[in-house]
Amino acid sequence: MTAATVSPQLVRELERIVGRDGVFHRPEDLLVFEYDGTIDRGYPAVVVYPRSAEQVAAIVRVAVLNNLPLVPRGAGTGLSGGALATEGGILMPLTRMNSILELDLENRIAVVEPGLVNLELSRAVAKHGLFYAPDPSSQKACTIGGNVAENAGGPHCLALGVTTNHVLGLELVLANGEIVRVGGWGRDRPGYDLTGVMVGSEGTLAVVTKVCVRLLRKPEAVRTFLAIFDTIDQATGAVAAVIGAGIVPGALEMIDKYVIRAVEPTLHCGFPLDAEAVLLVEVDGLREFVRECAASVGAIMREAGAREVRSADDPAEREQLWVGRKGAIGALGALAPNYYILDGVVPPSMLPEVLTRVYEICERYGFIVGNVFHAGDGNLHPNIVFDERVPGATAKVLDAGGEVLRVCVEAGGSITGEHGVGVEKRDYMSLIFSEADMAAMAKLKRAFGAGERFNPCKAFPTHKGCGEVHRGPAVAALGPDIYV
Amino acid sequence: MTIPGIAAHLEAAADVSVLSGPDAERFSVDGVAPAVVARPMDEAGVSAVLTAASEAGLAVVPWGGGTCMDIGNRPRRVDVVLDMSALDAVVEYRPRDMTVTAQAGATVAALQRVLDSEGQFLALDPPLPERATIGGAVAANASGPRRFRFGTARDIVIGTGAVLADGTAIKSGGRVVKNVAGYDLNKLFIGSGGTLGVISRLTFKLLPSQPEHGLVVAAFDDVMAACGAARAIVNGVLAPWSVDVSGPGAIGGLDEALPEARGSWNVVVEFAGTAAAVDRTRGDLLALFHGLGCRMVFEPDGSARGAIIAGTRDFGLNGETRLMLRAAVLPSEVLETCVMLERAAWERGTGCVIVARAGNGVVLSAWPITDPDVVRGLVAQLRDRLRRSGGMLVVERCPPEAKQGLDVWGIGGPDVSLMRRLKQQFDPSAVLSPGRGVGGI
Repeated sequence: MTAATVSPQLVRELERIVGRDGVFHRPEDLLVFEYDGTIDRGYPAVVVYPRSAEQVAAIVRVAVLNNLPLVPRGAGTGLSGGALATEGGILMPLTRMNSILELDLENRIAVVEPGLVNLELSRAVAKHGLFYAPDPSSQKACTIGGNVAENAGGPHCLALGVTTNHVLGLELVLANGEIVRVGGWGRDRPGYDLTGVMVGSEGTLAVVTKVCVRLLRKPEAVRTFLAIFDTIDQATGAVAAVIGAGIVPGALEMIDKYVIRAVEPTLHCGFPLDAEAVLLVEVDGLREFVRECAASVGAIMREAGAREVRSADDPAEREQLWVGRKGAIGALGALAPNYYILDGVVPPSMLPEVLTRVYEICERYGFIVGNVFHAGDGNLHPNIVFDERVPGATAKVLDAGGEVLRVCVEAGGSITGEHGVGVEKRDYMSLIFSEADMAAMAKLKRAFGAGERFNPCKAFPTHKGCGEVHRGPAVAALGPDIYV
Repeated sequence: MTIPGIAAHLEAAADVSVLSGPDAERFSVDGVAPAVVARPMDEAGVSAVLTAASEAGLAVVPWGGGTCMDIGNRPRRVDVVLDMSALDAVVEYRPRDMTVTAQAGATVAALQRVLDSEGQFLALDPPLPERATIGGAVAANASGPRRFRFGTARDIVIGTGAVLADGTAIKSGGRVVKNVAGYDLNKLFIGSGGTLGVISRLTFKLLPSQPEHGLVVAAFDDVMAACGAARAIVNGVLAPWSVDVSGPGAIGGLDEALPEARGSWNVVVEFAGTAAAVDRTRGDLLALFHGLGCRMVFEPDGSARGAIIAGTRDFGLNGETRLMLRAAVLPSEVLETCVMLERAAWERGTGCVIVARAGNGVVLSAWPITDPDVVRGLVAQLRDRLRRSGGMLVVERCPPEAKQGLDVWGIGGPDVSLMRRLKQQFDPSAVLSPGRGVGGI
């Protein structure tokens, strides 16, 4: 048995653990699991859905005994290839473990299973005036476990922090099948921050089976601003002025002219098609603070040259202001069949310069790029639209992406702000980390005893043996153009 | 290499000054004096010290400002104390990006002064900031009352430079606040207590200074009323910087500044923001306190305000405390924990003073007990009671003799085994602070 196909005995073993309705091995079923939110593909030999930590532990033991890679998966919305079985083996979606196990409203703590959809958590606690802060754009679909694996951010992480700042503890299954709790789960626990090193480890150290999270009280008041600018420079100037005024907004997002032109025809946000940038600013807190802040923000936008400034504090109206930003990626789908989202991050002061380089690079390669970015923390998402059916297009897109990453690193940034390293950025790790740095990370992996069991060939530079697994023969037999 | 050999070797190395003999006694750790104190001038010097020490099989204990050196189990050995105080430079400060990188030996207060000149501040308020270094504070995961609003080191550190036991220099994170490249080793060094590596530089994200500040202190007749008021604030919509409950006699500055508050259980709330936000917060707090039947409410300003804020932050660190305990419970358990501590004191015919970080479930208590047997008995009893609800108790400071046969951390389990494996990977020869950590790491 290779990592590309599995034996009938293995299928039966897995069925004994999770039941027959939890195991998928037929070619037409495996197809569905070959993709995530990226252009990469992975080919699992079998897919198994556990419903408990004990089942996960049993599956881990089966993987060990059969020397197969094990890839945990959430909703498959990831943007770095983390949920793909690129080396074959067992793909393990955790989406059937999706309950809220405990809710401590007094202390504002929840214990949830990793397959719970991010937005579902906030929805479930909304009636208690609480919410879960990390809000990635994919939150209607992505899972808490996936958020933990990637240390997901979102527009509101500017003021509130990213996933790691809201996770208080985890339950893990280690590579030897042991189930372990780490973290204080709401109490300070002495010793090393094992929770902290697990968050963002991209599914390579252990499998997360429970997540203890912090919930926040909803702010008393929120006001959202939308400002339309003639030029990008005016918009980035406005961002600098907001930060310079000592305001820490709840969110500070920007979309550029290509995104504006993509969203306007379908979403009708009232964006002038000749505007170069739209800025979204959100401030929240006490009523009095929001009122005061609102006056400052409005003034800053107008002084920076905004053509128009809209604002709202009513939830429904605020939602309307966000439509263009939230629908950006989807709308770009109208321009071409494929898109490639980059995840560069630079010090915010370098944004204008880096943005100019991004446009220049993409123009040189002949691509349209629409930029969406978290302007407050310098995290930019150039979206390159292309058609993978055009010969050589995919390779060119990857090259353009690589050049953009180099520019971000040169500007003092990093190769990934929130999407993770996963597959296509693993060979860029050496742009920012020395051999000694990566050797230290390898020590961490050895301490967890993970070997190459969990999500191999992800997040770190490839070695011999990576990328040798292709579509299993049975799936391939379905035809060369089979596509879901 | 012998220890005299090490001293000579280090002095010959670039930029390391060395103390030995009686001069080194000042750097004793739990009563164990080092043979040598090495004080490097730069990161290369840190590597040189560690390389030499690890090659000679010696034990090294890093030392910042010395404010947290009491915390930890008795070290198995201390050959070299690595004095980081000369590495105190601000490496890079980018006010427009709200980040700063400084060497580990810079004191918290010195760094704050640099930031203040640009209208920014570091949201970390560990005790004794004039002495505490940023490296030491982060290694000890030291925090103060403001953690309620801003979190602790793990919420503020975005980059770390460290030197491992064998002298290898590594870095993690970077200069940007959003960064998920690689494993988050920043988190590893936070709270590692000098057992995994020596922090040599840190990059922090910063916040803008606020135009207005306020402090309200409410005096209540009993602990239940005070904790109830604190709980209401913690669960409410106001976002103060800190909410602390302090028992009678706990904060010297408070007793001095507010003599009428003596003998009460007080709630101390610090807040800041725009004028309108501060007015609103102040108004709501006063209404809440009066509504809950407090004895008196005070709004100290000027030097009294500073003294009370510092006293709440530096609780128990006036040099007189013989025993300091830190209970870690849930915020909803703070009241019962305070009651339990008072009862345990009464049972022993003594008293204790208490400060609780009410919104974080941290209950600090200072006791005048020095007898090692009594200390051990007290700790065992308290841990036993706390264990029932999942609470923990750390012995932060106690007479060195009492550390014999006492595990100051008091936790065990499979996660501690994982921690041991981390130690084994990063410091296989147990060069760094051997024995001081959790589980005897």
